[in-house]
Amino acid sequence: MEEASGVGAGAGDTGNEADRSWLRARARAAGSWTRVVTVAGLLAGWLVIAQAALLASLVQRVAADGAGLRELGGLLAGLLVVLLLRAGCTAVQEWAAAETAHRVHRAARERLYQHLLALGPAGIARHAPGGLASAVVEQVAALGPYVARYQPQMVITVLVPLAIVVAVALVDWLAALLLLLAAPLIPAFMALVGMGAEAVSRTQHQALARLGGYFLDRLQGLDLLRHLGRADDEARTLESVGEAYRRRSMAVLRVAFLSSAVLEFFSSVAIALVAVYIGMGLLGYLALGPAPELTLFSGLFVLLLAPEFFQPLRQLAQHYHDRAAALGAAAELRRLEETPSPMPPGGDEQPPGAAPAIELSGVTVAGDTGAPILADLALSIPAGQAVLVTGASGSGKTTLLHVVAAFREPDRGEVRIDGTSLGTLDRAAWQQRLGWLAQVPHLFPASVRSNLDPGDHGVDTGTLEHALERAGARAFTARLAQGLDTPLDERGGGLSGGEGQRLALARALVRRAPVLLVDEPTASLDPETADHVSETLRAEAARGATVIIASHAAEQFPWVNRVITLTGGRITGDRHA
Amino acid sequence: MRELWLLWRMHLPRWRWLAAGAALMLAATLANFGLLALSGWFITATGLAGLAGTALDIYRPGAGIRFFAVGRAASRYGERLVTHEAVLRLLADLRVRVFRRLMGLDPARLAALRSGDTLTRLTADVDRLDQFYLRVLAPTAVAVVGLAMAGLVLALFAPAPSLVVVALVAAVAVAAAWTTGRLARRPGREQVRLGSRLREHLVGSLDGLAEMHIHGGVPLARARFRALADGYEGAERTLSRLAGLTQALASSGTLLALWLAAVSAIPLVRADTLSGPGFALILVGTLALTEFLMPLPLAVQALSRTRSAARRVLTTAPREHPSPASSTAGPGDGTLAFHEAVYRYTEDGRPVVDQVSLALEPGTHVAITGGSGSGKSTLLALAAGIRTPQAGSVWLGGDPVSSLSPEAVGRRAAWLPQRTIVFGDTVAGNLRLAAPDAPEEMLWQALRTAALEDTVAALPDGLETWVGVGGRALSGGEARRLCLARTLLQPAPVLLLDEPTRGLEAETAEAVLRQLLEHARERAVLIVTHDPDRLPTTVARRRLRAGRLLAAI
Repeated sequence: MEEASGVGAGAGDTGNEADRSWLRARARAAGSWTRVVTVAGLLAGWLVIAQAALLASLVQRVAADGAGLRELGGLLAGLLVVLLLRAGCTAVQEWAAAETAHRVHRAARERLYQHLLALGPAGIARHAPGGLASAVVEQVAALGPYVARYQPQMVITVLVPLAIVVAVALVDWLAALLLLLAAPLIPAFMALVGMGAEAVSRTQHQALARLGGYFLDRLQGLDLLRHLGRADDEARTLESVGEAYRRRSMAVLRVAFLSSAVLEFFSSVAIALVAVYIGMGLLGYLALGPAPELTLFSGLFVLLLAPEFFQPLRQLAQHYHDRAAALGAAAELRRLEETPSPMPPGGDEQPPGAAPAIELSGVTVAGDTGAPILADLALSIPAGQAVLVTGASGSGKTTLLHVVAAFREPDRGEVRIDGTSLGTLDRAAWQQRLGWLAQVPHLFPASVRSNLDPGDHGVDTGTLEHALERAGARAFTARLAQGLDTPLDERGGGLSGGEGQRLALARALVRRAPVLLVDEPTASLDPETADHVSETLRAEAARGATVIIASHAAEQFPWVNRVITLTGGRITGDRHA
Repeated sequence: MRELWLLWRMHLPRWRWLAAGAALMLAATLANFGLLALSGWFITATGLAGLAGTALDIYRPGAGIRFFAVGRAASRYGERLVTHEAVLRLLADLRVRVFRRLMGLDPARLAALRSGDTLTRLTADVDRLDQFYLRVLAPTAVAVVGLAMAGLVLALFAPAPSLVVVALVAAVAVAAAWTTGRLARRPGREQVRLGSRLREHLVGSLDGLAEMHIHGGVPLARARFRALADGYEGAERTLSRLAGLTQALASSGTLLALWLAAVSAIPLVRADTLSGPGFALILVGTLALTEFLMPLPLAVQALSRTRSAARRVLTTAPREHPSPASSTAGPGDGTLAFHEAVYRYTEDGRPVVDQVSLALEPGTHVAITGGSGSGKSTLLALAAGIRTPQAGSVWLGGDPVSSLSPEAVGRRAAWLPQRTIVFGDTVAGNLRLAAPDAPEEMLWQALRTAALEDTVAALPDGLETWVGVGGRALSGGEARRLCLARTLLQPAPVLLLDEPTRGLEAETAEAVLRQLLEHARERAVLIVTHDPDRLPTTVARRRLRAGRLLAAI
């Protein structure tokens, strides 16, 4: 199997500095809640020291001094208080972690959605709406655990073991030294754990992404595979590909797991060494250092703390995948957020109310690859003219409409509306003066009324019905059970493609807009509806509106005043009727 | 519950790996328990011996401590390796099972799944099913067995306090798990419901972003987003609070058990039924029980997540088909005929294909032209058995298409679908899907006919170049020609071509069509195209308008 390059690349990536600082900025939304998580976690960790002291002295009193329940009342009460405090600290830590994640998610989602809206249709054209939706919902959800779990644990992993070593050193410096020797440098250990966990999460992520990608690829072509009689073979191939990936992943994991095994081994050996050292000391077999002064209390105290010394590190290793997930999400979300909006910022001049003349001069729009979509375009459309822009797909028709609608600011050149530069017009006011009709009518999962008036401007029923009438949509909207208040489901439910387009046409007519921008309005329509759409647009032009239609079906609009042909972003034909 | 039962059955073939993983998980947790309990016992024993000045056998306990210490590290490492091995095997199985289930779907249903992101979601859901073993089955089994075994060890020293401890710990764990499951049900449902509405709003408002801006709907979209996101995030927060609180409850249960163990064991020491070291062992051992219980609250959450993932997978891929029914039908007689075929997308909709009659003999070449939406592609889909006519019939190779399985259709007609499908595989791999045993010369011959020979020859790895997902990006025209070459390799007497030259330069298109039809002189060929100018003059042209086949032009 060939190494598939590109798939999953960067998925388990450490993330660069920009991603990390982006993540830090998002983390600030949690305010002081992150600190509450850290402090509660630290307190819970430090209380372990008190718990160990109380337990050790309990055993000392019971086993060595023969004390009974009556004499131990204070000690037992103290133990109960410490245990309850610890549980309380854990509860506070968890509660605050939930709040931290909540605030981070909330702020990040708000910000991202705001930006996506501001990008406009031209800005998000490259992304599938489903992918953007999952960025807002799922990818943002990867940020919380990092801020609420991983970051506090970093602090806890340094400060709790430190306090434990100090506490152990106070009763027996040699035992403290043993612990320190077992974990020579916590940072070194953290790096080791980090490296291992990083490799593990990267390998798993890649294996999943590649196998998932392969699986999805074959599922998408399943009809063809069956036609070719190869579906059964592919099922078997799927099995062997899974097998190959498994073998390769396991080779990486065998090594990667060693780092946590080393941590595990050192902590086990340290506990064992401490236990044996204390035992020998207590028996009086050891004369070195503080060993002769060991008591049952101090011995047990040290022993109980030994595993706790390593506990925070083990937890950090568990939270490590939170970090990898957050950095992966950060890389993608940052790229989205840093995409500049292609819409012109706009000024505050009010656009004309009547049908305007539209003039493009030297308009150049560069594509992603740098090749121009529109190249030095000059076009002057007098007020009230009906223009058909035709050309092969990819010739720049849609981009031309986007430029006029101020969805896309030209990289060079200028658009003038009645002589005023589009850049100085109030952008929202200009856009709301347009009538817009696209190839695929976009219907919202809401009532017919909200679909006709998406801005909820309270347009009266008479106006709406008149628009439906003109669009030839009265016939079927009149049949709807709840009239204009009938809800449409997700995909314009219940309406055929032609009915949907008539409804969208009605929407474009509601405002009697002075400018109509229309993109391939008849491409997926039956001839009857296509003719009706064409006739309605003709009536709008007759009313005096400036109309620009982008379509490759020139024969559908024989009534236009002018036909412009675009080829590779240049005007190669300009024919007046 | 049905989905869990089916999920469980899918786990059974791998039970050895799964059981080995769980056993190692148990061994690691028990070794941890042993290490701590024995150390506690040992230190107290040495302390008391030191005080009394008596001798003590330190070698056997010392060896025990070393055994547990090394055993804990080794079994932890083994556990991680084996569980990962098990899960990777399991996921591989699950993918194949789901693939086979989807193989049984009829083509129309499959096409419906392909639109939208159903398949992407399905892939993600399948990947999520490993949680059932990792987070639910294994930790629960380890908790039950481990707690019982640890309880037995403790009971050797002090039966009554141990019983109290184990009973309390188990009761708190069950109660915590039950409460989480119970309390999380409503916010869990809310989260799923609001999550899908939020996603719906996002997709809707972004898909219709032009309309939103044009109609001044942006502030409204923002307000609606805020309302939905508030509800969704509220449910999300409630769920994680609940998870946290159950975690705290479970750990306070162990701590309480520790305290009760101390209180109930102290009189036993006084009465000399429990030794001092035994007392220490009970306390330290109880403390170590936390390890068994920590994963349980998470198990409950993971269970509800895997259940819904499993349910979605099963609704998408409802039945299992061991292998597609192999039809005995051979290549047929090489004819294709439509008899007044009618097809509508919806029952009461306008017919997209309207009473079309057309007959092709071997050697007949017919091109269907017409604007977009005229029903051309649907006509071809009827011939390929992807769609079934509501009235009239379509005959392929002498039998009704509706009686043929997709595989049988594939032996009678080579079909180039409208979609350009290039699999993530090598060029040769993509081509050999149509002809598994074709020698290289045959592949080159097909590429030559499709005017792709030079392009492939110029690739660094030639036929072995990886294309499609994860490979070299082909241009739209190149990908189209690769699909065409694959269709040409398919050893079937009838050729069904949907826009074979889409995305090609005019001259290339003409050359390709000429060579292709020359190559298929003996075969019946039905071509669908919106650009009849590129066709050689030998091809009969028919025009389709609003589903009706017009007279010859």
